[in-house]
Amino acid sequence: MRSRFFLRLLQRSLANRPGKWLTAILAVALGASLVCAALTLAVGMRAKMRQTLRAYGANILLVPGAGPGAGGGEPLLASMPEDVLGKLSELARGLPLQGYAPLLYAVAEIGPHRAALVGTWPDAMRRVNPGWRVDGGWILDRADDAGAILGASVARKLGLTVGASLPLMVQGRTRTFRVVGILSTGGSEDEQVLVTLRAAQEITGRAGQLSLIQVSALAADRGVEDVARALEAGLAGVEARTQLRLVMAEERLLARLSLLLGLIAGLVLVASGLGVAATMSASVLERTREIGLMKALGASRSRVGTLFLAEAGAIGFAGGLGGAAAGLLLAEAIARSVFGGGVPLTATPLLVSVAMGSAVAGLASLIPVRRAASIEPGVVLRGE
Amino acid sequence: MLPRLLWKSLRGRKSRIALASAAVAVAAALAAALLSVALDISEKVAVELRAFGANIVVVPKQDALEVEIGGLRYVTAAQAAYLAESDLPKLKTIFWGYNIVGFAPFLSAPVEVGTGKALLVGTWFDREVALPRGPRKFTFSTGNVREVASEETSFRTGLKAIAPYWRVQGRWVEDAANEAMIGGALAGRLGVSPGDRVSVQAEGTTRTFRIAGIVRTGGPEEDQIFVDLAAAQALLGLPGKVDRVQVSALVKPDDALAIRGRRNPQGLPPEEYERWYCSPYIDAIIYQIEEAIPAAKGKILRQVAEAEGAFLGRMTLTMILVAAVAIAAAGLGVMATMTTTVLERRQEIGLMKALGAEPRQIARQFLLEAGVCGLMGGAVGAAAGLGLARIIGTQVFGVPIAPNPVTVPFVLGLALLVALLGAALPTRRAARLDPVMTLRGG
Repeated sequence: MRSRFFLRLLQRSLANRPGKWLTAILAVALGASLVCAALTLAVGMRAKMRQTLRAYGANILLVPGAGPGAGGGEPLLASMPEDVLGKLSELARGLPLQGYAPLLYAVAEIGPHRAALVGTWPDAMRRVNPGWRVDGGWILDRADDAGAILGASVARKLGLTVGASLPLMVQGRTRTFRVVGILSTGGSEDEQVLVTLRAAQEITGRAGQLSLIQVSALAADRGVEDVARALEAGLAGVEARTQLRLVMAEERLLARLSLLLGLIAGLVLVASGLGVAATMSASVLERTREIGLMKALGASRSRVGTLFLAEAGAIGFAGGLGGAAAGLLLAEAIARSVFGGGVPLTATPLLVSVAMGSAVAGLASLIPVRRAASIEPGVVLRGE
Repeated sequence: MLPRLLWKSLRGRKSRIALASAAVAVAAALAAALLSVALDISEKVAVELRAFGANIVVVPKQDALEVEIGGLRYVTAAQAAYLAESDLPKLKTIFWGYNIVGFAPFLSAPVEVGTGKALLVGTWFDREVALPRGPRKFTFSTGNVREVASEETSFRTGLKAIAPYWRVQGRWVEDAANEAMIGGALAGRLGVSPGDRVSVQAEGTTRTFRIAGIVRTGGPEEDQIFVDLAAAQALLGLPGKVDRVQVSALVKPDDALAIRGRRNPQGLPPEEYERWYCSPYIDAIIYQIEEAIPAAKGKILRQVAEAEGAFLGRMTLTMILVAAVAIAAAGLGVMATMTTTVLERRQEIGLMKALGAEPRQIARQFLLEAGVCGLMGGAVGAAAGLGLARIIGTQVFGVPIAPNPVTVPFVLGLALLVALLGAALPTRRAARLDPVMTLRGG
């Protein structure tokens, strides 16, 4: 009976003064939406940024482990058996690999010039390096043994364009390739000639051999090292080298980014909490007469206090929920304009913002509620 | 009459004015802090990005194609070309010399280390370089002369500055004449650890180095041995020569002008050329390096440069969007507070009207009050916001965020505007109400 009366009181209070409550709810919602957006971005951007950076090349190199194949550290002399690839394809199913490409290096002579020759799986190479710019076409088939991709510097130096024929000589053996495309990376690839792995193995007379394997692993945080260890454990005679330059710089930057967005979320939380506190105390001030009347009619201190806290809780919950939803949309919109794709929406920021909305509204109204509960009905009703 | 009314109103309603000003101040602090961070973040992240290591490599200009495999250059004796070590300080005298945060020269050749073959690399580990004094003048065909002051008289650089990602077991080389650092894979093959001695044999000369530290990078450095440049020059019989310089430069992400200038900067119209030259694009910095050292050719380490560009652009854009959204939200919050403050005083407005005040007079008084709140809150908030930005900068980047001259005027103006707007709407409505209705308490 009493609780039903209480609920009706609460409901009427909320229904009869929509403008007032709307302001408070709006204040909570604004804060909650920003907190939710900042948290969603702090969590989601790490994954997004990591994916973006994966466009710029392999982060793990598989090279022959110590032994006769290591070639004294010279990639030109290093070799490992091609069978590694079979085992790697089994391992890859259980690991977060974006792609991997085998490479075989040689020095080729093109007329009077010398250039580095790289045999690889062209399709896999593209998956490891999606950021590469190519003019013309790409070798589409791992078995297209006549196709060659020229580095931009080689093409310029030799005056060759797409469609031209390219005679290559390695250790006295000559073979003619057809230029399929021209690759411009700004890196050492500009001075290389890229052909299929089989063609390179045939022309160098190194059937069944590889120099190294480039691996692009899409692992979270310190996970790249774990992936490298897993690869090493699964592949005998192979050393997995984590490219610390990329991995460490990535981690350092991503940690800063998350910290920054986290701090902003905290700042917004404090600011919106203060705003809510101001709104709540204004609303209590305005209702002193009403409270006086309630107390004159026999409401106890705790009853008045509970009523106001319940109102604050309802405001906080409503504002938090609305704000969190808006915040997710905001985060989505920001991620879309920055990355051209949304961030994964997780439940945590949503729950955190709703909980925080209620908590902030409740906490912020504690002081005014205490003041309300200790109002003297006689004084207030007289009109002071 | 009006100033007295305003003064009385402000004094008599201290708590409400304080409340409204505080609301403005909190929002203004948020706006000022986020704006400062958003405006400065690009610079902070650019510095942070140097953790990727060098982004430019300078090599001797030569006609032949470079045969480089896994970081190793395969040159025939006839092709071998070198840069002069004495030219290196010139790197800091280019227009964007200030943005060159580090560089290290290299001279490398295959040698016998212990019982096997390895690549010997001579470099500067940590070196103090004396720089030419005096300001540098740059004249452009537009007639403009730009002068770059040079306060630096010396510059500390070397491998340590450009390779912050190196993981060193043991320590860096301190005694340049007798110590070496060795790549992890090579150390494994030779079975050596820090403190051990290795002998290096080249061109018939043998020298012994004590290993100071073992280097892990995952790159070609794993199979190399690093000694001081002078030691390598003596061993290889190439005094004063280097074959490559890695440069770490703070750069601005490429935009439309950078792309237009890339191929043929001199083909740009004079004004555009000057703007291109005076922007720290990576291509402009390389162009200036090639001007300063004519025997050199600069190459971009594209993987590093592009990953950086992607990171920098995206992080800056994110911060700007977050700041814009937060500032908009804070503005809305202030408007709501101001509206509430005016609505609360409807009875007072009724009384003023009943006593014969014109709606315009009422509006003026309320707007003045709101303006005072906006300015006071804005000033306090902007100051607090700059402080907050400093704290954020120190927490996140270890360096305080520099206050931007735009921030304070922008935040003050915004606070004033938002406070006035928030007060104007309800005041107009209240001033039009029938005083009888409001006074009765309706």
